Amino acid sequence: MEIPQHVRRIYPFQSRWMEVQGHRVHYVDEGEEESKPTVVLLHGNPTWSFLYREIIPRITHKCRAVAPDYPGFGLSDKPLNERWYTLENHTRIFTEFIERLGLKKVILVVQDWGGPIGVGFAIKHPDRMAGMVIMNTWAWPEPSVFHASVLPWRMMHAPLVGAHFFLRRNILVERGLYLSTENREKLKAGAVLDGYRLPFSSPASRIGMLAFPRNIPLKPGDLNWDRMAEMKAALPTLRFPCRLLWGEKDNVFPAENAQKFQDLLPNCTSPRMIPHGRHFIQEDAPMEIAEEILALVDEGDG
Amino acid sequence: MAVQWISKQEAEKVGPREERVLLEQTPGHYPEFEDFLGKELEKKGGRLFFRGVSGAVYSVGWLPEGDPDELRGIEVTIRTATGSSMPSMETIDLDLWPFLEWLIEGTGGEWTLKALRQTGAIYRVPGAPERA
Repeated sequence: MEIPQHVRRIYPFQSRWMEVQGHRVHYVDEGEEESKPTVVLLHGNPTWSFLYREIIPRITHKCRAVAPDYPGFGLSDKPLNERWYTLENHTRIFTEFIERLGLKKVILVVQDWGGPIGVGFAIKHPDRMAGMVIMNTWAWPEPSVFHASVLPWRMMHAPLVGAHFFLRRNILVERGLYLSTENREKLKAGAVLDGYRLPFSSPASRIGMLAFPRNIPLKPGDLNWDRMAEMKAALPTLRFPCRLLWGEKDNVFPAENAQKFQDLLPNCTSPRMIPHGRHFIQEDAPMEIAEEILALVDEGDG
Repeated sequence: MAVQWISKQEAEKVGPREERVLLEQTPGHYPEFEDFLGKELEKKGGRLFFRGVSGAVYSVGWLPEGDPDELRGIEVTIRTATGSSMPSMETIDLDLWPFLEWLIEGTGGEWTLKALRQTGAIYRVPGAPERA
């Protein structure tokens, strides 16, 4: 897939690919500082490494920054079978990706689905973890009020309705990004929206987007309920330093989620609240995110 | 606007060409949807046919076995005459809206037309009211 010049100007990173379990995974790998932990930036739905384009240049003078696109997202392969897209498969691919890069000390930066994927990795590989920056996400089985509601969340991904809304209409990119970002003028600027649209040009390229909402457990017995219960139980055992940064105007993951992380994690700062920030906090507060990452990098330096 | 159901014979008059416009791979994600649609399909011999507001003709049914990508689920296809052009995406989306309303009404329970219309309005889906 060719990245057009006007998008390339704001996402000026070299594309790299790695074959992982039969899937071609796209990632960027910037900065060369090997003496410090590597910062690995995990996106959510419906985004890709493009989400971190304003953060990567703010941190690579001090550390190496890696940002992968999950299969189904960004420039990575996009399996056609919706059943492939499980939290388990995403976590397995990400784990092998980290192992194959040979990363021994990692600072994970997570938001939205980056949370369950990143925490899933961290609880199995605490020895590789140097820290985590946690933003607008969750890591427990109990759904947020938003996720439990029919209007609009469950309706928009209901059978056939979801296929129409997500696959044909691409609503998360065309409308969801706009509704969940405070800095809407920036988003409306051609290159930014075109960057988000780029990897999702056809219904078949959007299957991963539809599968993520269907991976959110709502009650015991649902797909991923046990997996996320295991995550929640393991959070108090994670000893590495964590920093919380939260968009206060997020109606998907409200500020109580930040408090819950703080209560569960033993080595965690008080949440840094971003009053103007919505769900896509990377668009609303890139400078603040970079500050939090660099604070952890400096900590890991000692 | 209600869905305008038509017979298989009427649908076949349009022409032989069928193209998939919607694919639902997990109709049982909320089982009540699959229950409702499965029963409706069984009543009609496995395939439903309707005419959209544009006049285009559609067919709904289980994906045939032996799909080249080994996919399963329920598909909606559009039927067109050989050599004729496909309606625009916007036209097809407008045609699909009454079908979605029928599906939600039939599934019932917590799935209400009001919720569908409001969700459609929030995300500006063609056919939904302009305001939530």
